[in-house]
Amino acid sequence: MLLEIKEFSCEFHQKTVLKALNLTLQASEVVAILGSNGAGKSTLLKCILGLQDKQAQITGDILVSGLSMLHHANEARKHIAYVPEQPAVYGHLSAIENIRYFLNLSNIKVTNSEIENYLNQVGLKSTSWQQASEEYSKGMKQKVMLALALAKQAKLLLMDEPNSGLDPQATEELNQLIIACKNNGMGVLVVTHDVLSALAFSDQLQMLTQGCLQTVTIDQSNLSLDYLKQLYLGQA
Amino acid sequence: MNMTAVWGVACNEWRRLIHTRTPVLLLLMLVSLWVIATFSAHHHWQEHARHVAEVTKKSQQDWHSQPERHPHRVSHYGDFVAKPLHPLSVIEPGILDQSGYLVYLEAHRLNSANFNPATEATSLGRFPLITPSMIVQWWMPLFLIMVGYHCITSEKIIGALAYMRGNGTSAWTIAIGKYLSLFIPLLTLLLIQATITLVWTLGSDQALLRLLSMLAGQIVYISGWCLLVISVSWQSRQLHSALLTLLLFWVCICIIFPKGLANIAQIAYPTQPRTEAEYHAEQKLKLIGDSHNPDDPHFAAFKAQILKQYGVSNTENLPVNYNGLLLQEGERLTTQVYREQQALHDLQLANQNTMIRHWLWLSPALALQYLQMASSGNDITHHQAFIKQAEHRRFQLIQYLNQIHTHKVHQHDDKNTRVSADFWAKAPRQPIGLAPLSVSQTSILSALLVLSAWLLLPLLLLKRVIQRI
Repeated sequence: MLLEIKEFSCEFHQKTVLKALNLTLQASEVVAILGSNGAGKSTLLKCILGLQDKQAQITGDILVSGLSMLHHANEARKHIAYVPEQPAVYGHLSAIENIRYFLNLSNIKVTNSEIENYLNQVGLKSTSWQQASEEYSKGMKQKVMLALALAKQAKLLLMDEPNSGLDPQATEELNQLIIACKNNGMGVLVVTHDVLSALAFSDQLQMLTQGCLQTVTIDQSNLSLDYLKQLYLGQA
Repeated sequence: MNMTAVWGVACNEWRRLIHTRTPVLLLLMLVSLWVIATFSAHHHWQEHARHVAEVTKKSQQDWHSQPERHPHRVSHYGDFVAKPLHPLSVIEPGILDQSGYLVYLEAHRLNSANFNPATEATSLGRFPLITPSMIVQWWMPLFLIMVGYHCITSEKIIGALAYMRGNGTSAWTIAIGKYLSLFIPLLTLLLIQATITLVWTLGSDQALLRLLSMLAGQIVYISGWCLLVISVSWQSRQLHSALLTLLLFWVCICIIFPKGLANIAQIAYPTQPRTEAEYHAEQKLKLIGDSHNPDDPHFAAFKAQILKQYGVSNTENLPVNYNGLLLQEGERLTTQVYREQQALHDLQLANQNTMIRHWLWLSPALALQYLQMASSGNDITHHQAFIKQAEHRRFQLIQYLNQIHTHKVHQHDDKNTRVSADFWAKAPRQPIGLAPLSVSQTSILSALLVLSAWLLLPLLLLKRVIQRI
């Protein structure tokens, strides 16, 4: 099991943000977590990364490749590749330099040709590899982040709102990349608002409402706009 | 701690700063300002040193070229002494321009040293002269703020902080990397300055000790600012709030608190200006007695005691010159009064300084200034030590001349007698030395204590905010 969330609750300033969550994620599986603003999606991601506020009161546990995030966070993080909502790409560095820099921080050594290979895999045009990334579109930056995730060779990929701010074509490319990651044996957890994309790439759809996770069963035969709306609002 | 990652963060920050160009321009401006300050302060110091040397030489020549003359004329001919200037005055001239460095010594006169309050000892009192110490105190923190205010905030905004943390880079790795990126360039500048200064000051009084204490203070001060910049940047969610918060710190620490404290100290413990001190001294002297008044009780008693001591009934029959004895007694009394007046002034200054020292924790910039002034030998304590030495020399010299008057000048032909010039050559004119660094140990210890706390506070703040993403 790549990710196992067991009866996990998080309380902050006497307010329960996450309530007894249970979730499992295996290799070659994509789980999408949907939820409205303030539902606790980002808090859940922070907790999976072991970056929850020090003052937060935690019960239960989160295991990444069998390692407890509460007790072995540094070891567990080595198995995670995280792509934040805002692509964390330095404008003054090129795609290759960005990847090299972040990998160096994690003490991972890669050659230039390996980095180029990952950039090829995510479909970033080679003409932009050496260019300062301040010139990149958000979609290009997301590709750099994904290449970085691949280069890290982590088993678990966490993505926070990967489609936000992307045009339909870039969104479709990204969806395909997520599916490619899954096909490569990675487990992917995506937190998103984008129901259509979630339907496109996920094997398991979870709805986070008021700190509680609910599995959503998709009726593939009735994917109307009304159904999607209900799905997003947690009424499906 | 993964040092490769720490250096990676630092190098990336430097690349970002170079890419942005503005920080490079700012650094060039800072270095230019520093060079200008060093040259102008060096020129200023050279002028002082040349003046001191010239005056000392001329005073020496004039003293020795005096012909045979009456000793009392010699005592009013006077003697110049100059305060020895430490070469570190180039970095921190302290109160030198306000206190002066030349003193004219004359019989029964208050020595000509200025009486300045502690307001002159704070930075704004000497605003017009840009000195290397001022660059460290004021401009380096400002440079750090302008260059570093977004060092963490911008990482938050682009999501790099969350990304790095989420991918296993520890918060302290990032913090130390950022700290080194800000600190190392300025440390390099400080070390270059210290090395040049060491060569320049080699062989001077306590050169290494003074330089090291100054350098230690500067390093701790700048280090504290680097930590503060990183802490505030880590705490802030928006760039403008980081910049404004840091500017507020700078204005308080470098401008408002030092100037405010000095002004409050002057209000709480006002010092007398020189004219007022002279007036009070004259008033006291009038109360003590008048040697020209035959009915004056003090001098009548003095006369009776002398006559008894020599077993004569009249001053005409004394084997020594009674006028010389009167002058000795007069000098003793006036010196006592002037020393009391000086002690009062010193007390007022000490009160001001004690008060400022108690509130020194409000401003590490002021603490650094105290340390730098003490190290360069240009603080109030060093000045007071110089004044004491000068006053001691004056009293010894005048009493020597009065003794010559007493023993070598015949009472019957007092006004027309001339004494051999050999006596002037033998006169006690003790050389004036720079007081040791230990005279300022209270200031130095207070400053070091404040600077240590200054290093600790931003560190605690950083520890508090470092887990935020």
